[in-house]
Amino acid sequence: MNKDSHTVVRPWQRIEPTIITKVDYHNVIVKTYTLPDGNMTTRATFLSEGRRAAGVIAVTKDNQIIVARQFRPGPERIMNEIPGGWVEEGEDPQVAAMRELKEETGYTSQNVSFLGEFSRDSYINGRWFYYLALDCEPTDVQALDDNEFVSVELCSIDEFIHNAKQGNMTDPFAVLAAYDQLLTLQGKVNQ
Amino acid sequence: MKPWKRIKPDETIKVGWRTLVRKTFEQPDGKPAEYVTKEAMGARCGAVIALTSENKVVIAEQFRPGPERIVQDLPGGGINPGEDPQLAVMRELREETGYTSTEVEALGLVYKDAYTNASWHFYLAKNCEAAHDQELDNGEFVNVKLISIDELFYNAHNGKMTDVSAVFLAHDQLRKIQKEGA
Repeated sequence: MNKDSHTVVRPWQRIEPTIITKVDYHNVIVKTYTLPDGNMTTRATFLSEGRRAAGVIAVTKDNQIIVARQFRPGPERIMNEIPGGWVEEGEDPQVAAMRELKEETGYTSQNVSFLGEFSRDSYINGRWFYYLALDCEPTDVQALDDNEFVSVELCSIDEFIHNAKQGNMTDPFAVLAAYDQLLTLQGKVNQ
Repeated sequence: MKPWKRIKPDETIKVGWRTLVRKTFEQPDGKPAEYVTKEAMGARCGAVIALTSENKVVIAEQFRPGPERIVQDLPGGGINPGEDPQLAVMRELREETGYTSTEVEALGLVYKDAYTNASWHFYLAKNCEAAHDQELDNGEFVNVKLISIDELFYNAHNGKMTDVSAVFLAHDQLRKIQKEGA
């Protein structure tokens, strides 16, 4: 195989079959492609195609971040996560993020802006939508599912950024998307 | 709040060459809770923000089967069991791009997902030099690109790469490097 054929980057051509294996509620999607060199290959990816999720960096009027502290089964430790969850079929991702914020923490906001849309990993399907919600207020009570155990905690912007840098949350990339705005909120000179 | 206790041994499930692990915990209310998690226990991956002496970022542009798009990814990959994560990441940098560096620092460790067992180890490498040829595996198609730190931030903010967390971890250092270079 010559070297040049490996450095020309083109989208791979998706062909059939797609093989979906369900393990409980977890899907492994094996996709088949024709590679740029004409060879056929398969790649195993996680999560159903087209799934969407949404998360929110939620800030109170006095610039405290609302953290959904919870045990996480992958890392097997308690993490200081931002509120979020799956976007339902046909649901607007912003609506989903604000619904999750309300259900997980009881907080709501009328001041929401879009931070960005991300892929989580090169082998994970789906898209992640993040929002920044300012002036959040505790207007509702937590409405957790039977298998959800979430402790709502407030922390400073400094603590939040430090927490993300220590790997104590699973979506630190959302903090990058909000970084400049968070520093501005905190009144720091943005370097 | 306490970490949940495991009440049954792991169950490893293989789907093709992918591994899933079923874990059974005792929830805080005493009920059992089963979770299927991605990747093998202890799986590790890594990636590097590789800067040349002119502070260009070495990018491994490639098609990715998850997002199904060409992305401007950081060089990196899987870490073999027992392998030092920094050595593994620097090996991946050399194989994927031909670049090497002796000035490497750890940025931190991230779990990309609440349901994955794989930890991601991120590094910042300075003064990288194109010292080798690319050594790509069959099925790897990588275009090596040099981009500015501003372009890296643009890509990270606009979903054009998959390891945005690395850029977050390196944010302050990258901004400092830009300021010093200006």
